[in-house]
Amino acid sequence: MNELSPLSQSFIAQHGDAKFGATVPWLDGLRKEGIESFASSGLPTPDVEEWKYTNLKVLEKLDVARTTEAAAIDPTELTWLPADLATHKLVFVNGHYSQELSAIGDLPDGVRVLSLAEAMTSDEDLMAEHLGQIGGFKDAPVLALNTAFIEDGFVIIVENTELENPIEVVFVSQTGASNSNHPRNLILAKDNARMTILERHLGEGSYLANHGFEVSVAGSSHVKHYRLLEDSATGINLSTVKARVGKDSIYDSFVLSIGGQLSRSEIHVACEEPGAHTNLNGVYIARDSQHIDNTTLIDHLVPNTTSKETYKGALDDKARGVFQGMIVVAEGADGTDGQMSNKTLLLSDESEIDSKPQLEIYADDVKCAHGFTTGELEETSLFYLRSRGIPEAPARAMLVEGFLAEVVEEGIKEDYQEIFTAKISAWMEN
Amino acid sequence: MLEIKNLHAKVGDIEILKGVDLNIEAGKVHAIMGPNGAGKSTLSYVLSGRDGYEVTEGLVIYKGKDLLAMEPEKRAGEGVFLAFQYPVEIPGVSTINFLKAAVNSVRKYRGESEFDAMDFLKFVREQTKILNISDDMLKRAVNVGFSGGEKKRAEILQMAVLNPSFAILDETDSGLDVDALRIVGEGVTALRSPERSMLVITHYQRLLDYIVPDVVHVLADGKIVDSGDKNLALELEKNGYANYTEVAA
Repeated sequence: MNELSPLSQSFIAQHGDAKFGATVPWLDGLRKEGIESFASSGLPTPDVEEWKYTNLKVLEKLDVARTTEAAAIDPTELTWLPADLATHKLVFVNGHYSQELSAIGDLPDGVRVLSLAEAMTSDEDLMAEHLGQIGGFKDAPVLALNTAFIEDGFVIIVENTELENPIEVVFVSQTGASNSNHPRNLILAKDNARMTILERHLGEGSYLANHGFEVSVAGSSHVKHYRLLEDSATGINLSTVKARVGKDSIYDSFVLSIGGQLSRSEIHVACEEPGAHTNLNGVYIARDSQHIDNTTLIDHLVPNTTSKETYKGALDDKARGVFQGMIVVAEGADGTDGQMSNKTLLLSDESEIDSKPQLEIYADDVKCAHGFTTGELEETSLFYLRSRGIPEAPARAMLVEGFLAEVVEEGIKEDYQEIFTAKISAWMEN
Repeated sequence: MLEIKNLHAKVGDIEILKGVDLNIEAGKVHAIMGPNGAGKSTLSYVLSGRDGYEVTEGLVIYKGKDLLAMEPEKRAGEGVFLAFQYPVEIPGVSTINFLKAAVNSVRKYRGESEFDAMDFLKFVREQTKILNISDDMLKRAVNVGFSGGEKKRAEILQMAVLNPSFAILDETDSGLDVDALRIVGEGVTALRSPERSMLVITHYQRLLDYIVPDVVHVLADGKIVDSGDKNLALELEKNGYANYTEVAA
């Protein structure tokens, strides 16, 4: 306990030296809680069950001193959506909102889209009410670390409105004199709110991007949160989403992980009121010695809530994948329906997947299932395509893409599927 | 067109083909009939190049070339087509995209220009009508959720658009009801031409009512044991394969 690693100590020292932009007493207090919580355990090691398969030792190679200034970025490199798709766009460079690169545009009544740094002054009470409240970080040291460094990120608030155009968020990280950033993001939807968030993570060189998300979907609202993680080959991306879903509301999450030296997307969803539903879907593809971890926890806390989860991946070379999916059905949460599935294609002898789907059920009348499969491409399928004249390499790519496309079709609204399938195709062609 | 000489092949340690000799001229339709386990499907897989079928003796000359030395995709490019007994489901890949990839692959191999999406759709629709294949079916994933009849019609559609000069139909009648059999039979018959040969593999005679063969062979225990005209198929329907299996045994 007292033996914190030099890496953990360097984060603590960095926190001590930090000069935060917004100095609000309650926020300083929250950061302090964050660093104290982090200091009580330090970065998780593989001794901790939830981190058994993902070792953050790789961070030791990085000088993690926090990023304070954004360097110049070529805006054309941030373009990833079709030119004719109108969005409300926010760009964060090394965790800081970039006014120049962003284009939020006009927003309908009932919608607020802004940076956290700005919201701290314009909506201080609302921030105080929610930040650090939606999801606790006591047993989540990586989120605690994010909390210790809260400074900027995005804030999206939609009330009683269907937001027509998607909100586009781009997080770009760079190697610099200091290499870590900790954006904190807040999504609040209530009273029949509808919104789609298209989020992209990318970067250059070596860095740690450690994201925290707090999401509240309440009062028959629906949030679609589609994320593309394509960090640089030496980038490390950690993210923790804490979502609370209320009455007759839906939180849809889709995560496409195709980049980074190491990435871990952790999502916790609490279905808190009857009629709450969540769809957690994801695709992971990796090669070389990339490591991609998807860890999810769905809590069914009350009767009549539902969840559906499918993650599929393809791993080549020495790539390693991790899937940890946990569904917990609380005592009395009858009528719960939770379906979870994880399927992985291993494209090489040395690739590896650690898949751990788990159910903990304390109620009587529930419908829950989980399953996972691991396999190679079917010889019969490959022969079928080749017998039609399609050479072996494109035939393999077609089978892998087809296998993965099923989740994209299931997890993403039709209008945006192509954005993600195109990324998968491009990856296959490399 | 195709000349099979003393073909021996084994699967694992078991010899299945024990010296097959067969000559198929351009434009002719040959039928191969025979009891279960005679080696009919093995012959179709050896000709189309599937892994796991080891040729131990003999050769196959196709248009003057050594067919057995070619990879499956090259055979397809050269005009060999196999309609599968059990068409394979390819989840997540739409039928139309699969067809386009296949057709453009063989066109590229043959030095022909590739289709763009619009031209290809027009090209495919010329063929879908006779086979009663809807646009909706083209949008669905390859063979996924297709009925037995839909799968076989989709096979014949592939044959039509890939324009082969030698097509093997492996038990294409299996799993078909009378109406589906008629559609498939008419579809195949429409594809007969002086430049195209076919090898129709079947257990039963009924398919041959629709695809009338020029020559009928009996394959038993890995060898061609009898050949004749279309009337041979009718005799087999009446008398069964007992005579041949006894001979072979």
